[in-house]
Amino acid sequence: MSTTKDFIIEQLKSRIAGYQAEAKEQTVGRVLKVSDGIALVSGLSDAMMSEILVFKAGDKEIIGVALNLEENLVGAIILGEFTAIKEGDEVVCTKRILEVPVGPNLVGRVVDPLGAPIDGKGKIEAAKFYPVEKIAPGVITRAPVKEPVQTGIKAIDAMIPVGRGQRELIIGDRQIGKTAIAIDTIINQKGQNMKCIYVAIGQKESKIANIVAKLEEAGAMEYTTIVLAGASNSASLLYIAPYAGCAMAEYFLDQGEDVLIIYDDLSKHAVAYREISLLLRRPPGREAYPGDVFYLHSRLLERACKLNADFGGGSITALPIIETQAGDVSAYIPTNVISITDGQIYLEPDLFYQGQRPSVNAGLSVSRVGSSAQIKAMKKVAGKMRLEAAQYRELAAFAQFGSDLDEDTRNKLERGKRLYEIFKQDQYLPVHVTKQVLIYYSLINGYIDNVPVEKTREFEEGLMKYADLNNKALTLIEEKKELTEEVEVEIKKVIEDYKATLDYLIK
Amino acid sequence: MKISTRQYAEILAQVVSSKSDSEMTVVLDNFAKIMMENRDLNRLDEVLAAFSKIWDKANGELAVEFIGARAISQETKQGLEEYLKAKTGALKINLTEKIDSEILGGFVLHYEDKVVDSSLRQSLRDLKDEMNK
Repeated sequence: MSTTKDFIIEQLKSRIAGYQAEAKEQTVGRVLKVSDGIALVSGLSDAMMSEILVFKAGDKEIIGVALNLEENLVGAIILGEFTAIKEGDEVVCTKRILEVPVGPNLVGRVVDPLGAPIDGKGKIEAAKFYPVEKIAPGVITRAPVKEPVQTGIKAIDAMIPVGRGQRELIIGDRQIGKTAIAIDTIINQKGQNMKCIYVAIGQKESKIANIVAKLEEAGAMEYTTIVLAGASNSASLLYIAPYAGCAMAEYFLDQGEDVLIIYDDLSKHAVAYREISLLLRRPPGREAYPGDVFYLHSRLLERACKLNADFGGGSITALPIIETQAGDVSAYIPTNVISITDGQIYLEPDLFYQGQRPSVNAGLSVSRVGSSAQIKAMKKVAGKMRLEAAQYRELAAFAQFGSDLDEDTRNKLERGKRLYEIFKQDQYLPVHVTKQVLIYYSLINGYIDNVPVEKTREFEEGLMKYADLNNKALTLIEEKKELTEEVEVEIKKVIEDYKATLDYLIK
Repeated sequence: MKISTRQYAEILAQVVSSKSDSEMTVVLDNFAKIMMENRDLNRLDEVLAAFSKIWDKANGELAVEFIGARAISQETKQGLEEYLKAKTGALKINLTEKIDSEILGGFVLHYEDKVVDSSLRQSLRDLKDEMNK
């Protein structure tokens, strides 16, 4: 008993010893006006841009960020419960720029944009604090994007390869599988030496709960952090969420690691920023967005990078998501983000409702980094895949008018049909790159030509299972990463052996 | 054209500078008349507050509010004024004193938009925060 008592007394003594009375000079201001998460504050002559301000509302302390500095006024966004703040409340400068906790302890957690845990798994001991806003790495520090990010989605890895350090936009209407692509990509990063950060901006909390459950089930939470600014959070929190997520990614970047960050989605982010800007009385422009809405996204996405070996060699790969209205990619925000990113994955409603899922449009989707972000084997089998897929769609539309087609065109159509069958893929089932090489190899070398179109998926599934059992071919591809003769022989053998077991082939 | 509060204050500060007492009455009369003609007299309080700030700045004066738990001696007051002069570079300190037993002990200084809180109440709060850590 006495040991605990001594312990308590010791603790108390050391705490009190750690305390030193001091009178600090503080810069204070008074709240002049507060509305919808925005406050106008008088005084605060020393306030810095994006400095943390503390609002003293009764005995509660609420954090805000200075966003507008005027002659006698400071416009601030309030991060948190703003209903408690009244006119005349005291506001104190903290001389600290807005920062978030970062570090390895955030992995596997769900946090709010300020880094506070919201998954009920207890406190997070942060390794460091990083500023939320940071200037992107400069030219000297960067290296070309060369290594692939394997999304595990056949259509994307073949046609629109994404490299480590690239920014690839996922764009499409609502409910069309944008988030599904992002989540599948996260799931496929297992064992790929990649940290993942999923930033949910204005998403339904139920949807995020689903995602967390799915990621946990797939064992993907071991390397994933989720930053959640839900639909019920104020616009200020939505506004800082992607920057906070990026700051968390930058910690791993500085450790020389590779990070994948998903911003889901930036349309809601722009809307939140528009709300803040209008409340701060900044002049509205096109679609009522403020003048700096381009900078809003460019400064965020420019922080995605591949650093060269002198600077640690880490990378941040960004997959921003944009939701279009009725397929309109020429609206303000979509065109902005398209021009900032290194390519886009365009998801098409027509394809989606035809049952072609993921509904990647081969013609409108591009990756400006291109095939330098593919392993050699994939490059060889998927070289002209995008062109062929786009041509097939055109040809198929044309072929509807007449049945009299020459042999060459007919062959192309048949091949195209099977290609699109192979592009179909179920959710949460990413395919390993070696298996992708295997299936594309069998397609371009005509092994699937005598498989009926409706049996293509069955064939594919069977082939993969078969290759798993005799996995010499797969391990060889994995090892060599290119199609040497030795590898090709092994691949051919697997495919031929498997086809010998089938009974539905066209004679 | 509407004249802003700040403009009124600046005009007032300019016209009253280096005027004798007799001139001053005329100037002030005219100023009041102009404000009346412009129907801006309802803003007189704001104008005077802004004027006071401009005046203080031009003449190196500093308005300081002192809040203590008890009244302070002349000596302490002098020391405080010296300290503030050294700190802010002001030439004259206009100290207003207030007694507020709620701060328990020590003192709080308010000047410009700065607060120096050396009260017992704040110290106890800090101690509480330190122990909650």
